[in-house]
Amino acid sequence: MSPTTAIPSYREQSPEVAARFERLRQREVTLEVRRLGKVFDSSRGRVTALEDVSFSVHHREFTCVIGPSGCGKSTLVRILAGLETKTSGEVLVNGESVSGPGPDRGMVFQGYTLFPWLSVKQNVMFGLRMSRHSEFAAEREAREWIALVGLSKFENAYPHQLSGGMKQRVAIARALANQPRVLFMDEPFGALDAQTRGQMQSYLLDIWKNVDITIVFITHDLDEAVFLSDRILVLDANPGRFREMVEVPVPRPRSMEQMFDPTFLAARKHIESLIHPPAKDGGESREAPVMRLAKPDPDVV
Amino acid sequence: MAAPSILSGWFRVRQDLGHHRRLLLTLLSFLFPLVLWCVVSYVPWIWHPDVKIEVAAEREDVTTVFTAGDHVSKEYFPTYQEAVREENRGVLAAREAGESEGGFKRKNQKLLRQLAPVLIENGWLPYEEAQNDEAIYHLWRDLAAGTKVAESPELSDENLEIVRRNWEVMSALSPDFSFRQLPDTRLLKLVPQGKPANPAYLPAPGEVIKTGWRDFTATPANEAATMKERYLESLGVIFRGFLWACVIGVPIGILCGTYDVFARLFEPFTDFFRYMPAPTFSTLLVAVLAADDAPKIALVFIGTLPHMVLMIAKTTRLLDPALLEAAQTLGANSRQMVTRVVIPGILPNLYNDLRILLGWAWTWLVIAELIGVKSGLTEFIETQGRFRNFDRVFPIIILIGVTGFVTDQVLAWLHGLLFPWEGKSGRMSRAVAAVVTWPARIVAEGARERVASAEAEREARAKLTKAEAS
Ligand SMILES: Nc1ncnc2c1ncn2[C@@H]1O[C@H](COP(=O)(O)OP(=O)(O)OP(=O)(O)O)[C@@H](O)[C@H]1O
Ligand SMILES: [Mg+2]
Repeated sequence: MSPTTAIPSYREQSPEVAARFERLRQREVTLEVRRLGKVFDSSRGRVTALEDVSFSVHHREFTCVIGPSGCGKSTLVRILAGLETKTSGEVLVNGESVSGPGPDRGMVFQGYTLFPWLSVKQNVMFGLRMSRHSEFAAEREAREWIALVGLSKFENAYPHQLSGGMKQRVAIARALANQPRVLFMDEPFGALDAQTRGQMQSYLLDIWKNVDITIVFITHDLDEAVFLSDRILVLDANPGRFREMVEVPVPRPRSMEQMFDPTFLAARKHIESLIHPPAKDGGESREAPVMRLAKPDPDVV
Repeated sequence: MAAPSILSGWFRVRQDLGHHRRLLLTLLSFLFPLVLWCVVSYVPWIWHPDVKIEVAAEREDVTTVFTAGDHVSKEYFPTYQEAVREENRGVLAAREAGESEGGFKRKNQKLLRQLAPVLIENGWLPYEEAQNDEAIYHLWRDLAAGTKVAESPELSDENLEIVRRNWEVMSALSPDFSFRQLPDTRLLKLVPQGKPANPAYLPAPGEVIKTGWRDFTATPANEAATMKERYLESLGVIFRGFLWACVIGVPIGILCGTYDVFARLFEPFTDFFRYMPAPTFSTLLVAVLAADDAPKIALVFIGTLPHMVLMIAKTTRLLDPALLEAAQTLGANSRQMVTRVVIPGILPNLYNDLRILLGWAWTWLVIAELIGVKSGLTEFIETQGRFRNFDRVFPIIILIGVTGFVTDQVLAWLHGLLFPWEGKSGRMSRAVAAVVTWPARIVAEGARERVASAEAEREARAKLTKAEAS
């Protein structure tokens, strides 16, 4: 009965899934990263955050980036968004090399970063106003995006009046209102509780379905990565290197029930083994590092 | 037991008290010093090392002259009284002996005025008429006859007796005042009278209120400025000095906080400059800007500016850089980052910085008013302080304090109104904001609707022409 006994290989794809990946590969490449490298020159010495990372993302693909903490995920996405300079390599969006930040690449941060002095509507209008939309046109468009994330009732509220999940929805609407080609999301749901996070994930998939957008999503949560993405980019730590691009064999459309499908578990297990390699001596036999402060109890093991 | 006691829950680490308790404590924080002041001033056996003279007497051959309102030590006062009594005994002895040494008209005129402070305090003589001898003469009569009885302060029996005796001598010569008709021989001096008092530098609250009221309402003689004029003059200096500092300091501060170029260019020198105390420039300022108010305004300006630049630069740097990154990913260029993110983002903190700086500016004002030609409230403090009239100094100090405090409270309250997104505005300030901004909102709403309909119309027309073309 235990599902662990029946886990197939993560490479096994049902014919439909395989066909879908084939079709995805045929699509134009929206984002291409070639031999990207990043070295931080800080006063405490040089830190190589990224080394020789290459991958490409196709149009309207949902890609997650996962890796151990400190492996350079944030650095990678900040370079892609243009907020950080790269040391070497190349980043192409729709074939054009990018250097600085621009409205063609949206970004959603873990810390919401809404402008506290603007109402929800004005926050969403921000990017539109920057690009010389008239106030009227910006407002009308902003309303549509706010409706898309289901916050019409709160369009005049200030950010401090919203919950974390609502704030992140506003941040998503704000990024999407600019109609970027790629949307980068750096652990956007990291600060939310498990319940809200699950809702937000389904929400995000809905939005992705209805909006012409390519998403690169950073997370350290395995379930989140497998649930959301078409392919998962796994990075190695110290320095951050390309480890593997995993195609997720879970069919679409996704739902929470799939969390216990063999395909889901297969992908999850494989990625887990990539991120936390099993210990060489078998793993389980390690001595308890905790001092024994109570008598051994056979029922408490 | 279960009911929440009013005594419990006052001491909880880092927990706010309830609204009522906070209000109560706020009141207490003002009441406590006031009560302490009253107790020290009005409970006679606490402290009171001095005697405040109510009736003063000049002594023969003694150069130290006391006047009513002066303080002498408790130990010395009986000696003083005894000396005057001794003189009186001499006068009586001479009178008994029939000696009639003349030439005392002038001294007797002065002696009559001994009573003036008592008459003023009892409300029979206006403050400005302390030397109106006709009126004083008649009041001597009334007191001697008993038609008027001094109540606060009272006249001691000893002094009442002296009043009667003197009046006997005076009335024999003339019923009304005339210098020529004053007795030529010595009259009796009123024996000094006084009440226990604290040192002059701690006047009682009642005295402070009384003298304060008098100074604030009086029209001073010889064209000197009234208190209102002085107050407005001080406010004018601080306001103009601070405004100039804002005009220069706020933009520089924001530039320093935003661009490293300006920070490196301005901040090191500003940092150095602020260690040179502004008052040290006062003589220089007076020499350069001779005109009356200019050096004073300049001093407030110089005192405020360096702190303002550094403080605002720091506030600007504290703005969450993630907001700037977010704006960049939304397509803001660097000008828009400053105007649309930095400035609105720091505004609430900048406003609070200015509030703090305005508080400091009062310090500079006090110094500024002492340079060149002394002016404003400080000149009054300085003059009266030199005469040890501290009961006239305190009202001014309190006035400055109240002005600063009230301004700050009003500005703090406005903070909630001006920056509703901070979420600190109370229900009251929100209601006021709603009322105040109502006309503006109506106008804006109307304008938006007009624009919207115009745009909609244009779009419809564009569609129509496109349809016609195809
Ligand atoms: N500004 C910086 N200066 C110097 N080193 C930096 C800087 N930013 C990041 N690093 C280093 O680069 C490496 C990657 O950091 P990064 O924040 O990209 O990791 P991450 O994968 O996002 O980690 P996490 O999962 O904790 O968010 C780390 O070793 C970090 O110390
Ligand atoms: Mg990170």
